[in-house]
Amino acid sequence: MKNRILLAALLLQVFVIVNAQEVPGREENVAYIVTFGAQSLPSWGDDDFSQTFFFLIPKNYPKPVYINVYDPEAGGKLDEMNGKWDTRIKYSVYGGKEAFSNKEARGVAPVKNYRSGTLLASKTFDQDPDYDEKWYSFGPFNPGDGEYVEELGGYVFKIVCDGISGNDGNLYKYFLSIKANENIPVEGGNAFTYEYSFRLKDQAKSLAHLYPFLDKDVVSIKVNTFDFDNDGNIKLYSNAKNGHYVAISNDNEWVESQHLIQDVERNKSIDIQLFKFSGTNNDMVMYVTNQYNVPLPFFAIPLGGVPKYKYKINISVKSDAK
Amino acid sequence: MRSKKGVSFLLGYCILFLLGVRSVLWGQTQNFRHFGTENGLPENYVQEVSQDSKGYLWVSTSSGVYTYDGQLFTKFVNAASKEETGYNVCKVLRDRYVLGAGDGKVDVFKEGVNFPVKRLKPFDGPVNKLFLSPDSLYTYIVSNGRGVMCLNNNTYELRFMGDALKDMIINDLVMIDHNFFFIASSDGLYLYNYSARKLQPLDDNIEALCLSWNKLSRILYVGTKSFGLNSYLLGTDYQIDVTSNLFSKLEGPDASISAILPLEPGKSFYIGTSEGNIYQLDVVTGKLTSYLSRPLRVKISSLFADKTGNMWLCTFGKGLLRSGKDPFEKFYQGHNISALTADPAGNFYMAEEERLYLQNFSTGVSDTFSIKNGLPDDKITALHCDRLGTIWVGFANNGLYYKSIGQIVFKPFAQMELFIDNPVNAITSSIYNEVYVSTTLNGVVAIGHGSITAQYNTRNNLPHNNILFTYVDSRNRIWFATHHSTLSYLEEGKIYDFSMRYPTINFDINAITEDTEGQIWFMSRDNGVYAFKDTLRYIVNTDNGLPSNFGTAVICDESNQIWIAQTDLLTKFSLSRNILKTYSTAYLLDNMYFNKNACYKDKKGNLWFGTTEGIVKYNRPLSQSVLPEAQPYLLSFKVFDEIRSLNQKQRLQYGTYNVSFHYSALCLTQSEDVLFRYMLEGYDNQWSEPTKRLRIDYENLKDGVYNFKVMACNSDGLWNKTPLVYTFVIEKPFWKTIWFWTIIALLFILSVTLFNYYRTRMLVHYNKELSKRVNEKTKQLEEEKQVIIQKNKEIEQYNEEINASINYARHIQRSVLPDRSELNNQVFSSFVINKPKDVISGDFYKVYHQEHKTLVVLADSTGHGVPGALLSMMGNSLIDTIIESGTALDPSAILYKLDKAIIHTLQQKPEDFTNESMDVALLVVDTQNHTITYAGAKRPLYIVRNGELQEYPGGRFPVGGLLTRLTKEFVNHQIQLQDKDCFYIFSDGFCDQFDRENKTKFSTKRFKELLVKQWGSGIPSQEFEINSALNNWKGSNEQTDDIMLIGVQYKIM
Repeated sequence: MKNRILLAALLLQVFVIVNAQEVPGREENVAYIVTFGAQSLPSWGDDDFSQTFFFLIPKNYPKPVYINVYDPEAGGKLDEMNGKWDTRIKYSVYGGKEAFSNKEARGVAPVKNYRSGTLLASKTFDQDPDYDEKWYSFGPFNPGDGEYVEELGGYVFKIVCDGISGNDGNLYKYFLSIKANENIPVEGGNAFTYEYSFRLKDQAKSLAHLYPFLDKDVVSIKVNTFDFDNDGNIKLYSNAKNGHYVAISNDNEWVESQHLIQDVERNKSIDIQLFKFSGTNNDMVMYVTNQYNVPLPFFAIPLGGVPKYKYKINISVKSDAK
Repeated sequence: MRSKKGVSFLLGYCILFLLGVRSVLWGQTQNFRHFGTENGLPENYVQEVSQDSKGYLWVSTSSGVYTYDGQLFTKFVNAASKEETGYNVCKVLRDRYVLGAGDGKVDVFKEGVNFPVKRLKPFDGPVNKLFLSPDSLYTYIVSNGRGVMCLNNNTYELRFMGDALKDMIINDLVMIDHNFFFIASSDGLYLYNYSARKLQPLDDNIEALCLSWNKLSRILYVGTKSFGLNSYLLGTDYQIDVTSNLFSKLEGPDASISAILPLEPGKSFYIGTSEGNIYQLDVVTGKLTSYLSRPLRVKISSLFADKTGNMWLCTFGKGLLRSGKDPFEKFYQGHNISALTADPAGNFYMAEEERLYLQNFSTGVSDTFSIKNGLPDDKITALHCDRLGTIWVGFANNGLYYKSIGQIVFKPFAQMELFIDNPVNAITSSIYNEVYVSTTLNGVVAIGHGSITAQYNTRNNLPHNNILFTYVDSRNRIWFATHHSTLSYLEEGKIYDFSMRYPTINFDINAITEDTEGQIWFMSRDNGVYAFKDTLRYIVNTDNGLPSNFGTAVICDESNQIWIAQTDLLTKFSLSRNILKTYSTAYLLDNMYFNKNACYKDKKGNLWFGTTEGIVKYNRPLSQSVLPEAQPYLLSFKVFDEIRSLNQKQRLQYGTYNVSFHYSALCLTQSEDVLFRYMLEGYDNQWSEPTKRLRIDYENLKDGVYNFKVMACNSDGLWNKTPLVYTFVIEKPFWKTIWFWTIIALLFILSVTLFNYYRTRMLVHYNKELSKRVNEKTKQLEEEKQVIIQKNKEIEQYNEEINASINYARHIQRSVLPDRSELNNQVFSSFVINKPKDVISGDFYKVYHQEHKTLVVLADSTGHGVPGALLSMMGNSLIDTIIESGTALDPSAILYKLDKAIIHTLQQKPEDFTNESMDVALLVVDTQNHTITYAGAKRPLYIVRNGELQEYPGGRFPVGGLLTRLTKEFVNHQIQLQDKDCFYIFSDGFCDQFDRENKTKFSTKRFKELLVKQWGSGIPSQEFEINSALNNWKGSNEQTDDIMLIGVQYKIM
């Protein structure tokens, strides 16, 4: 119960600090989220050609909400063509029972019941110039049609983006809005995922941030990265860690590193900073698990705020007496 | 050369003009009533609405399905199941309802039954939508991501429609026939071939949101997400022949058509958009009419038109809106329209101060007339369009202007001088197109063919020169209204004073109109409204429901309803139903005031009113049908908050109860005006006042039969004829029931009967016993009787013997008594009355004669009967002995000797205490000397002489007896007799005799009077009289004592 209250408080704090539920979050400094067509090679940066995001709407929110998708189709200058534009991307929005609570919905791979819940909306995009670098709106949705999650204090919608066919890469964004085709944030809303497929900014020496949330039971975490291309370093920052190195992966490679979690880090977000050396495109995947191999959520707006390392001052008194 | 400024001005004017046109097109407003979480509907996300055969609306929302009757939203629940039902979609069939739930179940309910007659589980996920086939034979059940099931509504057979429909979001589904379906989905418009299980894209360039299929023309209308409304002509081979886009005038979110409602199929539609706008689209002309001044900013999920003509807007986020037959529209808001009229072309002329607007609401053409059109810069006070279409404008100070039809320039009336500084109050025209202009100072001016034909003022019988209003009725009478309590009319050139006929009515008139029956209605300034035909027909004022007696305008509509404008209210009086209805803020008539006489009826029968906030138009109803009655019904009956069945009459046990009734009424049109009246028969004495309450509580109800009645009236004020009645009974206590008293009575009768029976038996038994005893006694008595008889016989015998003895004794006694002749001779005449009480007497008398002396003795022995007789015999004998012993005839001496003799004979001693004695009267009559010597022992001698009685008392003591120790003395009285003296000696028996009542003795006094009375009568007469007196006195009473009386009359020879 205490945990829930704390979590809800953290979510509220999020609202106070920032009121945008865009994905990627502004704080993250990530260019886009990415999903490749099913015929793509994983080495291009997407291991499973599917990405699931969750949107949280606070309980008792009265207005209908929209999930806006920026550049939903694979085509145009934003996306990554391989050969020719032949990729079909399907978005499916789920709510209702098990949309979130089903374990496989919160998995890191699109297996079995990852599409759990009640299908509320769906659209498949081919190459559609009408939506190239434009927003498409799913909705309106009745917030009550999401799955109510007490721990999160609100209703959760799930949007699954699947690369149905083709081998192009679709780069896109999400925004939880109260208006169709216009991004007006839902007060108190948030977005999170358990496996993040994203494109780092193609700026040399850019720094991206990801904010997984560690609950009170986390003792240790494993940070898994895929296809980082060894393009920089990844460090861990928290209240107790001041830049612990995370293992980095090469092309088409999964790598994990384990990190013990101290008490002061629990019930807080940690900051995984990805420092990119090069200025080229880099699509990668990351997920974080706890000691039970249960994936932990990355929140677009870090819960509890961006963690700051707390320096300790050790004072020792040297005696002159012999 | 035109200046740049001029060009700019013109350009600006054109832009403004065009904007004005556009704004007019968008200026009409619909009145919407909103239902959301704040006022009755528990959910703001409404998917759709349908209506059942009874008229109830069924509202499908994400949190449940609700029925609505105009008053209440009631969640539809499965009465057979206690768990949350979770219905969120519903389809209404003729006599059944199909409901889908979030857990995938589909329940079918029959009308009037609150538990499902059939339950199905077509999917293991939520039912998202239901679609009905046009013939209502099938219901198509859609579960997004799971597919479509077809339910046969009669057999309840389920049929899966195929995998092709599985993985798609179906926004709409229309059945073409049993094999082909249109599918609207976010991925496009599809044609589904059920038999082939094939999904064929018809247009995958659109996101299809909603469909409307016109079977006759085979045209499908599709609301799209981005491209407005498309139409598709379907060929006989189920291929699309023609596609066209009908609705591209709007952009952005408004191009997303989320709902379609055919108005005239194939010709016009109501369209709802995702932005929350409503339009009416005329497909033929392309005309688009907006119904909202501002969009709702939420998606319109669906549109529905109910049977009473209301349109319902289901929104996703703002609940439900109803656009009904709310009759009013508002135009020119923000303008103070003080006068209005219209020409034959439908152009309205409206005055606001010095401005004159022109507006054609149909074509959108508008204009403003001012100085440039020849009008003066002066306040417009009157407007009129005559029969030829000429517009007449009256001004406050600057006279009268007119404009012929088709012209844009106004001309001043030629003879203007009459109207300068003479405000024009009203203008009207007769059927001959004579224009009558009413002024403030000069009465009325008649204008014909452009010139003045007549003037009417006080000089020619007009009651007043300040004429406020004129009206032409159907008989071409011109009515003139004033504020001076006079009303007159002009008919065939002559003015008549109407108000004279009704001197008691205050004809301070503001406005006049005529109804369809020819009755003239006058709106007084502060006394309500009157209607006259030949006589006063109606008075409508605050006494009978008019909100106020003050009015500004009055007009009659096509339905013969009188509309009365009163400051900020509009009241309609229906003559046919005698009902008043007032429209106020609920009809958007807020913060507006009706201007005096600013009203007009157009050719279509619509009414127009000029107000301080623009124009209010009352739309004439398309049909003359009246609103249906509001049908009341009972929602619940609770007893101490416990719900009781409504299906059966409730009988409550004896006690005191609190009950409550929750009721409602089915009336979807202007339901906010529905009113109720209720009464609990058995508790209330009368119907309640009209109320909007839906619930009523009653407390402390005692035993009895109660009938709860409720009536409802619709917004027209029409009460339903038959009230709803619900009866319940609180049982009487057993001690109040008939059966109880019957039983008591029966018990009483029974107990009485038993008592009587028992008593009778007892009596019978007693009687038997008694009889037995009686018999025994009788027997005993009989025996005793026999004994007694025997004894009686013996006694009789003894009696006879005794009587014989006594009779013999009497004989002896009588023989001893002297003969009566002893005292009847020449000297004495005498009688003797000797009446023994018994057979023998204790009284005796003796008579002795010795020479010239005669001794008479009368003695009364103690007692009577045998002892008395014995004593008398003894006394008789002793007297004889004394006389015979030679004792001189000296009464006193004789008495002395007698006394001693008795004592000696009876051996009386003082200590014996005996009292046998005798009272004796003893006299000796000396006939020679004519003297009596008398001595008595307790007996007197009476001598009556010349009617006077003298009494010579005897001694105090009797002879014999030793009751006293005193010496007895017996003294002689010497009395000289005279001729005819009567002397009497007697025993006390006569005076002691009781009368016939046994109360009074004869007494000595009465005896003396009797004797005195006999004076002068002969002895026989005296004897007779004295005997008679005695007998009369005694009557049948028993003789008290022995009676003896000797009466002697002495004659001196």
